[in-house]
Amino acid sequence: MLGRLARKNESVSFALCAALVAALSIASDVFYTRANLNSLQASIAPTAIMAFGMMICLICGYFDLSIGSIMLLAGLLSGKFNDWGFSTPWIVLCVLVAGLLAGCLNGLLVAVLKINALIATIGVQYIGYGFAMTLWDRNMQHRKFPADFIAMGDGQFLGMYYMIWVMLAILAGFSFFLKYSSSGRRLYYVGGNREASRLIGFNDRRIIFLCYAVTGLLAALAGVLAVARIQSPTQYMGGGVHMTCMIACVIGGGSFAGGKGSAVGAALGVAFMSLLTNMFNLLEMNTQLQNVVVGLTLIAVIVIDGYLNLKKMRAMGKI
Amino acid sequence: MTASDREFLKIADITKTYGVVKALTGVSFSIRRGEIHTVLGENGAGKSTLMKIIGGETGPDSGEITLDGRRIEHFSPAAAHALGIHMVHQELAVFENLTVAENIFPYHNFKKGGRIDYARLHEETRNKLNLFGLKTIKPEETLGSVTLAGQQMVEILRSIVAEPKVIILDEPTSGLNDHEADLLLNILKRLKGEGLTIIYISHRFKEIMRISDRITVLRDGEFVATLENTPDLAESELINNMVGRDLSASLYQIKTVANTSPDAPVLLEVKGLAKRNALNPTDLSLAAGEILGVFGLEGSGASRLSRMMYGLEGKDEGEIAIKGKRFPKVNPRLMVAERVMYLNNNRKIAGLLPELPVTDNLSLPVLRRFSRFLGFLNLKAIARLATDFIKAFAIALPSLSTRPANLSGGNQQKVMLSICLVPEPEILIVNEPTRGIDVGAKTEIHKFLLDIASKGVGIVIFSSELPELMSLSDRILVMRENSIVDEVKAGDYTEQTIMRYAAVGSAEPEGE
Repeated sequence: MLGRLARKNESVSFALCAALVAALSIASDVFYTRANLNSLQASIAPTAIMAFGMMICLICGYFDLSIGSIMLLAGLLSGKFNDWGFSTPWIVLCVLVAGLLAGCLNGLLVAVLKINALIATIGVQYIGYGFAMTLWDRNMQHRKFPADFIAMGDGQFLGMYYMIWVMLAILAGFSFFLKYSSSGRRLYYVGGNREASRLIGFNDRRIIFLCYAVTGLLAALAGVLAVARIQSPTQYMGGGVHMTCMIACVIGGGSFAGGKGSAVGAALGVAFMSLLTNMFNLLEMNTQLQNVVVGLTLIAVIVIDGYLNLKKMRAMGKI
Repeated sequence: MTASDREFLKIADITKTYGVVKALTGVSFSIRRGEIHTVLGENGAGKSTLMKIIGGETGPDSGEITLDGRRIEHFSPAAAHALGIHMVHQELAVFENLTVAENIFPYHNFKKGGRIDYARLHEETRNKLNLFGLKTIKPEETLGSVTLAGQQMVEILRSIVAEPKVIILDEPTSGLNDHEADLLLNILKRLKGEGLTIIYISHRFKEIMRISDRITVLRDGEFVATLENTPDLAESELINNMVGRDLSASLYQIKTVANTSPDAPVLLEVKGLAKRNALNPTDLSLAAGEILGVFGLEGSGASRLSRMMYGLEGKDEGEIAIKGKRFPKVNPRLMVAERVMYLNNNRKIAGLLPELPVTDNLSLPVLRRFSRFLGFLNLKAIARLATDFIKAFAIALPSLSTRPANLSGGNQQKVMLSICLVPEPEILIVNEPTRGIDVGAKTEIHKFLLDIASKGVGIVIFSSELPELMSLSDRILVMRENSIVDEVKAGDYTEQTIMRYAAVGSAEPEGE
């Protein structure tokens, strides 16, 4: 039973999170305060929502480096639409459509025009960032959003922000999709062996296109929720979040080789990254060292995974 | 049997050309409903191309294929599936990250309340596995942790659950041991009993004779014969059909006397070179001025031996001695330093820098020789060197700055061979030196190889073209099932003897 648990891809990230929570409970007396838990939630929810997108791309054997820019674009567009006097539902709808379009652009470049995912999504990252920054102006942060917009970020239900509930709903939806729906399973076929998936007649390009489109949509959703939480868009939103998501997904059991990963893994990976930041803040450790820890964890997870794989292959006499 | 059963899958006048190479020329024959039909031929005989056409992975240049009286219009894997034609590839097309069940049923619709019913999926898979006696494979285990043989079975099962009319199996037993192969053959017989039409590709004569109803032999892209597999059918008849070229009229002059003198020094020795599941302990030696041929059918281990000799692929055991110097481990860098060069068998993948000028290609292995003060290159000397080789080889080049990508296959091959010769090697290992090039270039390359051998260079030629080997080699080593099974000396060459060693491994017909 324990052996089977250990082989589950999410186990590593779960163990890491549990260890961090245990350490923080002991070492910090502010960890369980309302304020700290609130800030943890606000840091986990938008990142996890984006990580779900990254994870479905990774399962197909791809990745998306543009999600941070799309998040920023979504944030600044919300500000702009607010300036134009859109009501809250219209702001959300228009921003989500923009994110979806950006995701479709990624999908078009990677799946249809077959441009290398690294090049294509870096390209869209720059386009998105540049375009977003043309929208930004100094006074944006002083303008007020409508009350119902702010309530999206501020409101709580059963002690948790709405955005956490949104994240949990997406988590449940994606978990079902990836495990119990035929279309969800196809992602694993495409990522496991693209050529073979084509030979058995799957439309690999359509699947990859849709993954990118959904990823763009999720990044925009994360952007709106983050703006609603901090009540004003800033030009720093989304910076480096694509790396955070990628690292979180890999720690959570995803792989650049494709064919593996889960929504739970993505969420746990993000939780780990947020808890780690939280620990460095609460224990007043040198925050620069945090990057060292993230890097080491990432490499350790990959090396251990690779080593176990190698051992298995050797035992089977494949190499 | 009705006419439509006799001509269930009808192949009519199929021709397919790749560049200058005719892979198939006017091939016609028919496959009956519900038979096991083996297609047999040497490497390059056109089997794979024909199977790709039937399986819808490529279209023919001309000719047509009809299935059950209906002409096949579109050639794509999906169209073939729709018609009920499934192909199981020699290289496994499986999903190691998924379970056995998901590999067998990629299109399943076992659902309960809108969600995948894994219990049912595993149950159905277990039934299929049990039906074929594969009780050791569990439906819920990840395919990556199943043996290669198991993976092969799983891939075949995936085709079978789609209830095809025709299934093409390309060397399905090549990765299996005798017991596993036996199991597979029994399964095929049972499927045939259920009315499935099976096209079978294999080089293992025993298997072929055991399960085939009929055997079609292809040679050099042409149809030779379709033989009924009656108890009287002898292996020798198959072998004669596989080779049986009229060599008197060809461009090849079969070597009858070895050119090497008995006291020529030994240049290269391979001792006990071995790798698990890839090469059994192998010895060979090469003398100065000798041309040693190595022949083997697909999967015989010949091409792997060439790569392992040069350190392009790892080994478990064995050593290599060059001019008496022993090396427990070799790598290409060391081989070049010891003046051993290797001609790669695939010019598209390696052997050329297709986008750099010919001069750069030629000077590559010896750049250091041309570097002067501070490492600046003596471009004039490089141009002189290139001109010399272009003349010697009669390479048709518009200018020295032409890029190999713009040359014909034959000229590319000449450039590639020139690159190997620039460092003035003492030993040359060539792998398929004339694959896919026109006759003129072929003859010139042959002349060149004979010429440098006469100057004392030792050459090992790996080729799947038997007449080529017979005209160049002083000796031919024949490989089968990862071992060298025999050595034939110039003077004793006949295609039949060599092919018999390569195909069945014995000189005398079995049981006759």
